[in-house]
Amino acid sequence: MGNLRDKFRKLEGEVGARFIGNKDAIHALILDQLHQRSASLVRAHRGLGKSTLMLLLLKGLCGDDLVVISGASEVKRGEVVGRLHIPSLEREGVEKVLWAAFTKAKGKGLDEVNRLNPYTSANVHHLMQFGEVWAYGQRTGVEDYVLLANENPGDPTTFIHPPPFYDRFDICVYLSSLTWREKFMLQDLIEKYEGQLVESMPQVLSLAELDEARKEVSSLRLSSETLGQINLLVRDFQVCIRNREESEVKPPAICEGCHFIRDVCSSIKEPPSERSTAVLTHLAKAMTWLDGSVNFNGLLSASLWVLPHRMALVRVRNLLQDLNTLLDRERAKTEDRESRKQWAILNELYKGYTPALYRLGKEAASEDIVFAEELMRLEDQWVKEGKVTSEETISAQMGWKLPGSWRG
Amino acid sequence: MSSQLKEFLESQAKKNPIKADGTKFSWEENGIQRDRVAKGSSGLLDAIYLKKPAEGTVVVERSVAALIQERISNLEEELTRMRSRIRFFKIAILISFVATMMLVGEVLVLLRGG
Repeated sequence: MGNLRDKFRKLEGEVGARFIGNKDAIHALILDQLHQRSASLVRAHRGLGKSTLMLLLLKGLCGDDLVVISGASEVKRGEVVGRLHIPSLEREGVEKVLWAAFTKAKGKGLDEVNRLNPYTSANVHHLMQFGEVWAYGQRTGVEDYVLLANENPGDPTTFIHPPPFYDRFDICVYLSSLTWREKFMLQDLIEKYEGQLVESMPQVLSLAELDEARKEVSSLRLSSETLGQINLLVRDFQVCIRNREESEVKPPAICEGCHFIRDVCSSIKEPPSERSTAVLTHLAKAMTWLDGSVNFNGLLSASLWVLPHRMALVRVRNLLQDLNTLLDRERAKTEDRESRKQWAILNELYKGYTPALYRLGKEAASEDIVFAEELMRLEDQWVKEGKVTSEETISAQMGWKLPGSWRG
Repeated sequence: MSSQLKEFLESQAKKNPIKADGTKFSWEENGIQRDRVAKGSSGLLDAIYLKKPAEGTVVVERSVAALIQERISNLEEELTRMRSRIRFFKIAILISFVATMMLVGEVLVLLRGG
């Protein structure tokens, strides 16, 4: 196990030795490779090395077993997945498909994803969703892979891909330009490797070792505290007491007059999907395995890789800075929750109905929507059992409803 | 209930315990630092909103800092909105001034019997 960890650290070192700066982004990409069918997206403006970073990682993990398709060049329909074997069709009248190298390769690279035409991106989307590809009415399964993609968000010659496509990427890291000192380092580096940065990159671990590491990480069990923090973090970014998800009216319009207008929820137009919980869990396991531990600060940092391509904010000036502000408020919220002792209150309320604790719970619910949701579920049960009347519930008093519930 | 959720609630309850005494519940605030932080934060808010003199060193709780930050950004937005309104009214005043001058000119021409 230690040996595998050392190999992953060596991989990070080898990539870092050929790619100056952006250490956090490299570490994030390394962590994301520690689960099956990993898919990572690198976003950066032109010339910042996104393709180089993608190739370095693919070479380090898969050696020569990699195929890169580029949105910047012409990729015809079907070529990415497979093509028809013409001699079989002509001689025997049989439609035989020759599956493309991209389908079969362990390392899959997508250069300039924003330029991929809709047919290609639909094929790639299906591959990431179902682990299979279709061509000419025939399907083939795709084995475990390493998928790395990059795109330039400022590129005007761009196809607008649907949000579910981006949601399939586990993480999205942003690269920044080099500082003055780093530019000197890059010049030294290019001289040292004679411009052959990617070519000089060795395959650090075998595909069997990669599989083994992925299995080890997957078998780890996270503490209930870490799981609770992950679930709270994602729920805080999803929840809306006015059920934004089902509503045609979105924030800020839907927030008018809302009790929670000052909360994080009012800054989020489109919430992150449930997949962000799964990805944060993978990353937390990877951090535990590779870095030795995971804490709340680590989860907040990981959220900056998991959330940017999955959600839309009401007002965006600088996406990462805006997300940072929301995550800072999230940290403050966690401290408030602790000082309110609300989880201890909920723990007692789950054990049984106590009027005095219920009153405390209602106070906590007026400060925290996630807690309010849980209390409202309990209230439904207590109303059915005749322990409280529907008029005295917080949902009746504040006019809140749980999604999908009817309240006359 | 999921066993992980149960474990999470139990661990949180252990970290921040509540004492039950019949129908009364109580708990202790852990550490003096929190009191100091809370005092410092409220001191700052009092200084801003109630014009009370601030202490030599002001300690700000994260949530208070976030509140002030949000308030500043709201005020900045309000300022931008006001500026654009002022610009609009300046242009409107200028146009009405020019129109009035032209009207006065027309009246003078008519009075001279042009």
